[in-house]
Amino acid sequence: MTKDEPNYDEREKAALESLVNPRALSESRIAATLQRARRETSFLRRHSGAAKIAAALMVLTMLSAGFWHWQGVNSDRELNLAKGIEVLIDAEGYPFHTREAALGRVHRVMSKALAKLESAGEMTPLLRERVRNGLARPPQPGLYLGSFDEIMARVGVAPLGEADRAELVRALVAGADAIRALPAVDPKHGKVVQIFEKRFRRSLKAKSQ
Amino acid sequence: MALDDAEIIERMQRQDAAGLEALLRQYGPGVKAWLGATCDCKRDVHLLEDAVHDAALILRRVADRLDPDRNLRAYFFTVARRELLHALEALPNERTSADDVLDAAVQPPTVSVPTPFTERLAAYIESLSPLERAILGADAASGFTAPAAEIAEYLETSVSTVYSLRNRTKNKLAEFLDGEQQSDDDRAVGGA
Repeated sequence: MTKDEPNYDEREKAALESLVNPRALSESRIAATLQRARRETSFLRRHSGAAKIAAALMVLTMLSAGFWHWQGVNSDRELNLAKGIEVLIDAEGYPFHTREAALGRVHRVMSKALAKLESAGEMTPLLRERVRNGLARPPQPGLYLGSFDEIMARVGVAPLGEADRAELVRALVAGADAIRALPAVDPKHGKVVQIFEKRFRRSLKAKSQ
Repeated sequence: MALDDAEIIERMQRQDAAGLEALLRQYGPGVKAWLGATCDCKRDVHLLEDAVHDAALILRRVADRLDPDRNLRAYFFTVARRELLHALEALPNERTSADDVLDAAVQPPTVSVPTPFTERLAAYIESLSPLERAILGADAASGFTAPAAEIAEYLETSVSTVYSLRNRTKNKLAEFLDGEQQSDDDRAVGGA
């Protein structure tokens, strides 16, 4: 007996052992547990291949994310609205996942722009109406080469002029058109585009009421 | 043929069913008996055996991390106790008639047929705190060979707590047995 083992004497051990009556476990339960163990083993063997594939996919995803960032189109600073629109409408020039990322980014840039205009008091009913009118016609996707980012940087700092507002309408409609036209070149984006378009229209509508 | 702890662990590591079977056959009955003696399972006695089997499967899954120099029975008991407490927590509070039918069909109890002495001893164990009962159960299930450091680790408490509660439990047991001896002597004198 080592120093820290329990030092019950024989009388105490005998008393405690008189209390219990160890009986063999049920044979059917032992057989069932052994069967469970066998199933677990075969499951793990069967799925070890799947686990390796999942790990490889994760590595590929991380690598592609790194490549995406390296391309210079995955940061707020580098992917402006114009670049996003270009990625969206150039169906042949970019892979599926690149367009998917650009889709999310363009939608986010436009939503943030609406929120910023609203909070700065620059979202006039006329401006809202003009964007809605732009969305009422079929999409006419095209490159956007205007000064959207420069104007947005001035929102809340200095009052916007009529020319600025016209430019903002042009940019927002161009972004919305690029998004709406995407399913025609890549139908897999259809569901996401539907959701984004619905949200964008709702954010325009909600503020007008 | 009985396997020693190192062989049981080694076989479980190799996914050899004989390791798990030996664990269940050699140590399962003792673990189940001491679970029954130190945990209140009156609400569902079937949980005792469930806990033993679940714990055995858990030990098999972590066989690669088991240390053959440690007391396997004590670890088996503490894992089974944890599984049993979880199962008891998840039990609905009210019994149904189906529970009575199932209880009637269960194997004979692992606690001995009660005598006045064992009833008083069971009452003494019930009067201990949950941690004291857990330490007593781990000690008894391991054949009184588990070091305090291992019990402390398995029960997530300190070694000094195990020493302290062990001594208290043992002293209470000694007092109880002395009292029993005194009563026997008194009865013998009265009878004479």
